[in-house]
Amino acid sequence: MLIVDDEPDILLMLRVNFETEGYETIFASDGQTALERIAEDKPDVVLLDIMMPILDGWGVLERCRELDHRPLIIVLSAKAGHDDIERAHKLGAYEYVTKPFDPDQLVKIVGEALGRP
Amino acid sequence: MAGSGDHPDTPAEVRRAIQEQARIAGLRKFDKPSLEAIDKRRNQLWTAATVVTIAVATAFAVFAYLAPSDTDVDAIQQLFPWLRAVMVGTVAVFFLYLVEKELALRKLTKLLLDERVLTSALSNRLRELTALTDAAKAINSTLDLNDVLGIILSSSLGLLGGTEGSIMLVDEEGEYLDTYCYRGSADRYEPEPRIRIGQGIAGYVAANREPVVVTGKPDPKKFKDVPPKEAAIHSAMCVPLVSRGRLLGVLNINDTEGGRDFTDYDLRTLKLFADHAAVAIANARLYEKEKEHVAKLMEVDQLKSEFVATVSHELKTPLTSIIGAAQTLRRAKSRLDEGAREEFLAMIERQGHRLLRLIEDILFASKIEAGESPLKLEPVDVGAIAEETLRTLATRKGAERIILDFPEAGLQAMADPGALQQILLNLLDNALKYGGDTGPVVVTGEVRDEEFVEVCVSDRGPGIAPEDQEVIFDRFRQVDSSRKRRSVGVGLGLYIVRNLVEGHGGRIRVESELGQGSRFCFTLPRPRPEF
Repeated sequence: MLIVDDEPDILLMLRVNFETEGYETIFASDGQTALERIAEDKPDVVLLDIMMPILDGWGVLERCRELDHRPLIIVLSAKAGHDDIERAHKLGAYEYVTKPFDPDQLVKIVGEALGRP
Repeated sequence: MAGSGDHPDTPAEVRRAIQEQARIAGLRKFDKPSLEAIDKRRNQLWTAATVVTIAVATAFAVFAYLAPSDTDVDAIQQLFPWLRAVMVGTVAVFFLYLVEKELALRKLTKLLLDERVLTSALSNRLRELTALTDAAKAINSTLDLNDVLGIILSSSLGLLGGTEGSIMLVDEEGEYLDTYCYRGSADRYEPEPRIRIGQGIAGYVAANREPVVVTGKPDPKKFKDVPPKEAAIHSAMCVPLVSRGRLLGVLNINDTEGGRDFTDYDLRTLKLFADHAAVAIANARLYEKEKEHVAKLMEVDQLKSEFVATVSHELKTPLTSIIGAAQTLRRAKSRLDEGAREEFLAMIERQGHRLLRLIEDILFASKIEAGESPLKLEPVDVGAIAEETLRTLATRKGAERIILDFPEAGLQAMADPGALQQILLNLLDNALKYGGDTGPVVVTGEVRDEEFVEVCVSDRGPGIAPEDQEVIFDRFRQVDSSRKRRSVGVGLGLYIVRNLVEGHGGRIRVESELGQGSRFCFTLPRPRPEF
């Protein structure tokens, strides 16, 4: 899975949580790099932050719509407005999780999304 | 009420006197006493007089010439003095009657004329008062300044019969009168757009707050520096517009065609009206100020909401790490090794401090905004503080790219050490996060002039677009980063930095070109030489 966030501590925290569940994780700190990793490594799931330099989460979502093999995208954001949630879903996000979140919950959501037990 | 019978004062008294005379004159009750009725009556009387005279004369003639035989002559001779007396008596009585009627009719005529004059004067007055009231209502019906001025002018022109008029209002410094509104029956009417207070007729009125009416050439002893347009007016009235003791401007009503010579009475009417007008203008002005005020308040409100939204967003970021790390430690404890556990505990501490700094920054910033200065300035070595800051950032990714370049001998400035660290921390944080991944991040410091030192933080990142450069310090909204260029952070960092810098008495600016990296420079005051 691809974890995208410009906060290194959040990346670390998510990485540890998912790797202990057996996931293989790769990372990106901005939208541009995220798109590159999506194209090259074709992850199944993307945990996507919105507020990032160079290209933000919205930009990533938009570009992903045009891809053939679209990964499952879960948006992670501190913004909790209805408009944002709607916008994310309209752009094809699978789920919208607000920060701060419970890492355990996130693991469960990803598990369900991928059909894992 | 003090009118005597001969000089009635009130309309009611006049009326009564008229009725009385009409009765004496013998006008028929249902004839309205009028000049025509008087003529009619006079004709009646003269006709009657003529008839009576003819009748008497005829009777006399008949009697005299159709005298019968001698036998009757004696009797007639005896009767003759009586007859003569009767005849003369009749004529005399009738003559007196006529005279009485004629006198009554003359008095009546005079009274009717008086009444006419009185009625005319009253109806004029009524017309004026009605017009005044209507106009006063009209000018109070709107709070739009331009509308009010227009209505004042049209009403005044209607009331007083001028051919053109203008309203001039005092400017902010109180030195000039500017023409705000004008109306004229001629197309070519263009009043002087601006005159000095004291200049010409309008200037005189404004300076002395005295209404004037000028017909013909303005007296050069009284009016200084009269603009040619003003001097050419046939008859001009100018009144001051004063509300609550403040001079707002002047109202000009002119006659240019020679049709009217304005009188003091007209001036008085105009002044009365101007008093109403001044109130309306003051109200309209107040209303405009209120609207501006409300708009500003709404803007402030808007900014406040944005601020709150940004702040809560900023605070949630470190909290995510803290809560996430704590929960991970609790639940996955068994699956984490010693190193990972340590890492998470360090993360909690680190992010906790960050949260604390953020809250302190915000408090600092809001205090500075409110005009209080929580900064305690002391002489510090900027280089030393920079090194301290670098140590705090040691664990950050990319921290090794930071280079400090300060003079060997040190760089002294007046600063609050904690605040200066915040400033550098924020700028470096920004540079690492948004200033690209490669190239050095350089912090330089040098003396700029006698009063200030300058410190700059530069990176080799994507640069900042010119339109963003203008807003990055002012606004605290995320600049749209969907284009391939440096985004300017989640808003609070630079806003806080600016507040802190300005709280020291310095200024901050950014130099950047797209693709050429960015350079943030701020100034700090130098310490005063100790005596």
